[in-house]
Amino acid sequence: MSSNKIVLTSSDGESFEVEEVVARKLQIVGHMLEDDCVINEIPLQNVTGDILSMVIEYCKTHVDEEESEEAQTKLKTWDEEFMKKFDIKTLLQIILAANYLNVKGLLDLVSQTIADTIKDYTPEQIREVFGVENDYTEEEEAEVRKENAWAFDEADTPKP
Amino acid sequence: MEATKRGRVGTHHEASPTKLPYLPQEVITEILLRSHARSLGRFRCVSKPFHSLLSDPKFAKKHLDHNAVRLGHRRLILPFNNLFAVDLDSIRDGCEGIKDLTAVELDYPLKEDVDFLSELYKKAELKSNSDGIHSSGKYKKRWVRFFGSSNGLLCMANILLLNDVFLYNPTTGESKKLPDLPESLRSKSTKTLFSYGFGFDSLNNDFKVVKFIDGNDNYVYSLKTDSWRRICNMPYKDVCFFTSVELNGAIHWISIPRRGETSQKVVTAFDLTTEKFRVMSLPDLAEECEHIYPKSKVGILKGRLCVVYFCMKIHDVIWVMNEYGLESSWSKIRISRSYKHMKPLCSTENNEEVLLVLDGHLVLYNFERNTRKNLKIRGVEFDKSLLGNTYVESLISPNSYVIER
Repeated sequence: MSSNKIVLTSSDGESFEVEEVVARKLQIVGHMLEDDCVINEIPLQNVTGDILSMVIEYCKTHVDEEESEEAQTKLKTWDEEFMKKFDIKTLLQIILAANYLNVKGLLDLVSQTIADTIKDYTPEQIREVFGVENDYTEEEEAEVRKENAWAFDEADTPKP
Repeated sequence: MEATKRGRVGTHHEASPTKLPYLPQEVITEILLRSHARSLGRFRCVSKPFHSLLSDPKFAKKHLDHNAVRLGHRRLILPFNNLFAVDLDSIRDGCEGIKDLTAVELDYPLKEDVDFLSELYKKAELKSNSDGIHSSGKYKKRWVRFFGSSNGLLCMANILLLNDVFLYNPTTGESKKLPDLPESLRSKSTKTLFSYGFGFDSLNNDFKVVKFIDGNDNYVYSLKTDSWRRICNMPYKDVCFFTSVELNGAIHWISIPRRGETSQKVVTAFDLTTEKFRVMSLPDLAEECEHIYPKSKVGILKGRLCVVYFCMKIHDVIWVMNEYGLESSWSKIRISRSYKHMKPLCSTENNEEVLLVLDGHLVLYNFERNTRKNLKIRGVEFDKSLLGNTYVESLISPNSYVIER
């Protein structure tokens, strides 16, 4: 029985016992298992327990991805609801984890969710979210804003 | 190697006061590839590295090719008094799934060129005594004609000046006037009737504009080389041109080749990669339309080639080529509302419904259930001859299009 259970341990020492099929959704784990099939406990140094639990929740739900349209729609709805729970900070943590653990579907999902979240952000907000330093001089920034004026406040009242 | 070449979009995780985790460059790029072109224009103002990434034509192409963008970031462009854009994603947001749409006024080539326009109207006055043209200024701006929409760009001209063709990105407002056909290439033909087609050659990653004048007088413009070339002859001599559409890497239009005494209509396809013509027969349309000027044009319905009538009389039929290139697969669909003018614009994301412009109305039509809903655009009155196009919101720049194979 123990052979198809894997224990994943987070950076802060939290342990999760999951089915091997679920653990294999984390490609980083999949590769370790291929190298040595007797491993049953895997330490994951770059992920904290609270984030790892979200990743596992996603993997459990997506463990058998059926082809049928109905199943696909159901999963899509679940994905949407799942993503609604998180603020931008958590989304950034999840995407980092998905990138490190190499969970392709989750990486796609969170990338799209973050893209949607930051859709109307100003350049200032983007600097904050991605930790980017503004290396423009005042004049340079004014110039770039002028060049891209089309991308700022779109008037949505028609002028017939 | 690739990563060092591209360089990082500058980040500084230690100094961040908000304690947000910082993301590696490739993860940020993945997010940006799914973002709206309009957001990305704004994000160019974030920092110099962001600016150089988001101004790179390779990034623009990759962004355009992303499924989220190709399928999700579509807009409708409508010419009435002016050019307006409507967000197609917003169709299904409201109560009962449908809401009124909001249109946004666009800037476009020649729109505000007052000198040019007044010059044009003088010419038009000489040509025409009809009072509708110059008595009302509001007609001026709508004299725009589209020859096609492909990969984020539209090909267009003012209808009084069809020799001046523009490639136009409605999202960024950027446009490029194509160079004139060089004197050295031009044939002696005095024909003044011609037509354009526009599409994307995906093998060579090139935008192409085709100018059809005559059976042996045809030219193709390549955006990559920014120049015109002569191309092979059409398989027949006399051609009547109507609207063309791009599908499966080819431009299609209906033509009436003169072959002896018969003048059976056909669909001609121009392959944008091989630059060869191909002729496909049409179903016998005459059986449906016995009017004096039986006319029809091609369109795309749920990814398939289709033919609709526009002969000023009422019809309720659409012919669809179910299997591309297979002439025996033409089949007839009857719709629950007859039309004089009709054009399928695009399918909704789930492919259940098709947006049609139908006698000046925007109609969301469900072909499985034969149901339809009229859509309204706030503050905008259509006229009966309204037609429109769709485009994908992109950063593609017609003036700096450099993409390697």
